[in-house]
Amino acid sequence: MLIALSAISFVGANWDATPKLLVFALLLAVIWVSLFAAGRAFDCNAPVLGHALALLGAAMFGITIMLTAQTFNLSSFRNTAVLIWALAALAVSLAVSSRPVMILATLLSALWVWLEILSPAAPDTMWSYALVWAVMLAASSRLNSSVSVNLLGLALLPWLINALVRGLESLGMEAHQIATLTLLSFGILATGFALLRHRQVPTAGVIAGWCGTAAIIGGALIQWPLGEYEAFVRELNRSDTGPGMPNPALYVPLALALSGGIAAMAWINGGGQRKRTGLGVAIAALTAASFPFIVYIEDPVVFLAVRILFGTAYYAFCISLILIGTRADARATGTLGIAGFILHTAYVYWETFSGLLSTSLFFLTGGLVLFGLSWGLLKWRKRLPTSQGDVS
Amino acid sequence: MSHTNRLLIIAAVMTAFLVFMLGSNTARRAGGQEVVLDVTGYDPRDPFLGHYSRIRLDIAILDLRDLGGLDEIQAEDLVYVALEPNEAGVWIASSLHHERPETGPAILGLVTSVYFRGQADERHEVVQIDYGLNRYFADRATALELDSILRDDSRSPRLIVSIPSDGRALIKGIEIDGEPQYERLW
Repeated sequence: MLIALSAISFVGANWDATPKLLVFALLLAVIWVSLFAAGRAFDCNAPVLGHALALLGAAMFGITIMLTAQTFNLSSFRNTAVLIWALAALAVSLAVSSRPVMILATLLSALWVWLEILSPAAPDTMWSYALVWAVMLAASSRLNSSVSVNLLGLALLPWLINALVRGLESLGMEAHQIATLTLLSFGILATGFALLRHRQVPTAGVIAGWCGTAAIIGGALIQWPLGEYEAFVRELNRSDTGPGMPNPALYVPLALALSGGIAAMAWINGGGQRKRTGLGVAIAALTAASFPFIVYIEDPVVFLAVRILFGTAYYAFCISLILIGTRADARATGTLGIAGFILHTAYVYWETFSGLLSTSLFFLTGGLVLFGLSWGLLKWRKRLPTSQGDVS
Repeated sequence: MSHTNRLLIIAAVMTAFLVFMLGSNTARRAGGQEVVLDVTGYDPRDPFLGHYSRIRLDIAILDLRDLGGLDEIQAEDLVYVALEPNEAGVWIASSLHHERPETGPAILGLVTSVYFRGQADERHEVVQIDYGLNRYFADRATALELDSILRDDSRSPRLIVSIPSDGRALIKGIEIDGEPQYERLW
């Protein structure tokens, strides 16, 4: 990388002393030499040097695009050049099975999509990134690059949130409907990738983890505005100035399809624990799908009761994840369930208790619940080897 | 196939792309209609990439009262700005269009904002347009000279632009005190 930076500075420092075509030829020569040397290093069984030189060659390609554009004042330089750079880096990484170059390709593809999203000349949603993302994921999986796969998982979240929010906005949906459908979309992706993981696609588990994290955090956050809204209902005893009614022809089929998909995949993922885990996830998905309609309840008491029901469904969802996490190959899912449980408990505390005495009572209740849950899980885990033995 | 051969094929594809990028832009620049536009500018700087001047074309901000063509215009619209020469030989905007006009040169731009100026009866719409011609890279001496000229109200540097048939303009050179300096490949 330092050598690549020195090439940029060298061109800048010798701008007026070097003929332009010579600058261009020199930059091409650096690409050829670095890639040729990388190939020789791999062929001579010196992979560390090979990776470094392949990374230099891939980096120099993008640098050459930028420097050529400025040397010759090519105003037609577009963000597409970053995508071409990413694809070239991908080709280099696959040619020599280089994980460092794969990481560069992953970062460049994420950079490209955000440059396009921020550009007024390109669409705001950039659905085309889905194809680029899938290609990068397949390549990262082939190279077993856990860093790249995690980066892809991380890149997926803001892109998909942006694409869904803008896409659903254009369909005329309200904020609370968009939030629900976004949450359910992450749920279906999480269960889908978890299913792929069980079908021996190892890196799919990482993407399932990132999508699951988004679904769990989103599931907790989506409830937070309800406290303020409930106060509003209590004060005015009416909700007709609240958010607009969802368009049923558009919202209901989408929400049901996503909830059904999540439930089906949770059932398939559940293996021997279908009834325990699949049911909890399915209830949570259906509850989330009905979320936008809570704001049309006019009676404050009913409103509070439904809020508690929503919270209970979320707890059931987290407990389902914790139960899945008791399996040795699904510890991360259990950790996500615990994180969601803690997050939601913090929210319940914030909404419910204020004085020290009630805080004390809250912690006592929470402690007893956790003791009870731990005891139940312990007993359940002890029964697991017996039931697995029965199956075998 | 050996690793070396695989990477050499990739290097060849990379080279082909870069040569195509340079060649196609050069051909488009040579084949387009040449126009000269007034500019204003900022400072030249860049620690890594050499020297450039940030420039703003005078036709980047257009008062709709002075132009023919479109009445309805919104941010993020792609528009063709038809150009015509004034007495001094500088090309100025004459009208705005969504479709490329059949006669005369028209430069393609993206409307970045639409806003109002003035009050009451004087209230009128103004549009800001990005033509993708915001930087002029040059050697250090030219960039510094250009910078001092851009700050000097008594002198008027101009941008020489080539407009191909699709309207996407390319910088062809710069004119300082009536002396054109064209972009060269060498």
